Amino acid sequence: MREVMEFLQFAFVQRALLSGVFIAVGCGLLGVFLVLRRHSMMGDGLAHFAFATVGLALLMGWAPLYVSIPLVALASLLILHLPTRATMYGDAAIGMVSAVGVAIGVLLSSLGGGFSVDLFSFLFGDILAVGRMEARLALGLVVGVVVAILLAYHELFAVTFDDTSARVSGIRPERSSRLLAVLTALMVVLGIRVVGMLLVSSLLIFPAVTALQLCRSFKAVLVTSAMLAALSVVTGIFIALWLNTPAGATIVLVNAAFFSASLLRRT
Amino acid sequence: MNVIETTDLSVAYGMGMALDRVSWRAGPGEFWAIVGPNGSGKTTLVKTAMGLLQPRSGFVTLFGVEPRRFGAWQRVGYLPQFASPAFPKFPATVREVVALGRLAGKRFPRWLGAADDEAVKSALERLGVAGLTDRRIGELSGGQRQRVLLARALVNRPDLLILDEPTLALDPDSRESFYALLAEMHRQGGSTIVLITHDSATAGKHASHLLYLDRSVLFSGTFQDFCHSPEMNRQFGSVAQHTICHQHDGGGGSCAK
Repeated sequence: MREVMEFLQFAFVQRALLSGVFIAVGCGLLGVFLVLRRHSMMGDGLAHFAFATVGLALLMGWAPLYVSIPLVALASLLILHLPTRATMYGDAAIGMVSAVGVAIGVLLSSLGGGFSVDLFSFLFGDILAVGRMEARLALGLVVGVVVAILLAYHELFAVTFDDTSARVSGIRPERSSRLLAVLTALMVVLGIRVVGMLLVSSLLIFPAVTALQLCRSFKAVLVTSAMLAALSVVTGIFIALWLNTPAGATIVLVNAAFFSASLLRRT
Repeated sequence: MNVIETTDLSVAYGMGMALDRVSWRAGPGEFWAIVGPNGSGKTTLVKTAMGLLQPRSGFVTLFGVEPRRFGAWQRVGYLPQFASPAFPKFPATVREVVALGRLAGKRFPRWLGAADDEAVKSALERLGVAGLTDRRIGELSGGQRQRVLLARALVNRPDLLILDEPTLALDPDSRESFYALLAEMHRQGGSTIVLITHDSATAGKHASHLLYLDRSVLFSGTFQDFCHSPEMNRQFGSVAQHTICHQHDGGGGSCAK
């Protein structure tokens, strides 16, 4: 344990913990809306699409974060828009965008040849490798996401609960849906650094579903989900340092343990 | 000024007409029952009046304003036909659900204050569900849930209350107590009520006006006019007319037979 505490003296561990906690809080808050609106797989689909954007950035030699944020945000709007233009439901749109992202990613990876190792770190996450600039950008964006959620809280809650009645209150559900989609895209891109593309949706889903088992009110679910997400990241990083396991996978398994415990508490 | 007014209103879903040149006026303080068979356009009519659907042709106004330009949503209370599909598992307390009604008419970010808390408390007391304030909405019985949703619709003391088959999932006792509550509130508050129902007997007992729809208007007017109309007698048959009018007259039976 002393060794683990000694790790805290290292700047890279401090950065990982700080940016991880902030990103987790954003994911925890957003996840509640996504799960209750039955858009849980939106995070998964966007993460798969990010495979293409990261591939493009690596191929061109650009910073993946700057390329991924606008492109994944556009993909999130496309997922919302497709079911209104074509005869399909939202889950099919997620599946299609996700598949196209992976296909382009694989194509770019084969074209680039040399960056497969870098791509691998994005697939499985590497929070302990977060740089200073990246951490600052992540913190700024997460603060923006949290402020947006707080400002739009009542509208998001109303639309999530019943969008027809929300409309009769003068609320435009389309605006709330677009806001949620873009914020989700931001958190997915940032979350990729923490747990990787393959597991980022777990940061959106697990804390929210666990909080749903424990709380009665909407506000309590939001706060609990954010706290559980942050706690899972801190616990996961410490366990990973202690047992020398991959941080991303450990964080996901900690989340699974929290969820199992919440089920035991219910029964 | 009429509360809702439609003129030659037609609404279509794809190629099929849901409403065909419907002209109807609901005035202040009137209690309208909208009845008609399945697919007759009852829900379509009120949804178009609230701007949830767009007309193919004709006009509709809400308090004299086109629905898409209407902004005073605090004047409208709405209880939709189907509760949110997420209901049973949705993490919201009764207090939170009723407070949603207070968002109407507020500007972004629609923050709620002490006056809103007071209005929520008052609506819950009025509907006799103050004891359920901190219960999760999904834990309530059907009757309790409808009362809570009615509290949400009434929390702004609206000038217009629209109820779309509010007693569909209720047992007969809960249904009767729900309608008694509604009638009592109408007597006290004087707001316009538009009630969509299949239960024409109950409609006849509580409402003052009847709109009989079957994509177009078959009858629009007071129950008295409906009950004394030989034409309606021919159209619906004496048994159907008697069922509605018997309840409206409180069993007195001044119907045209």
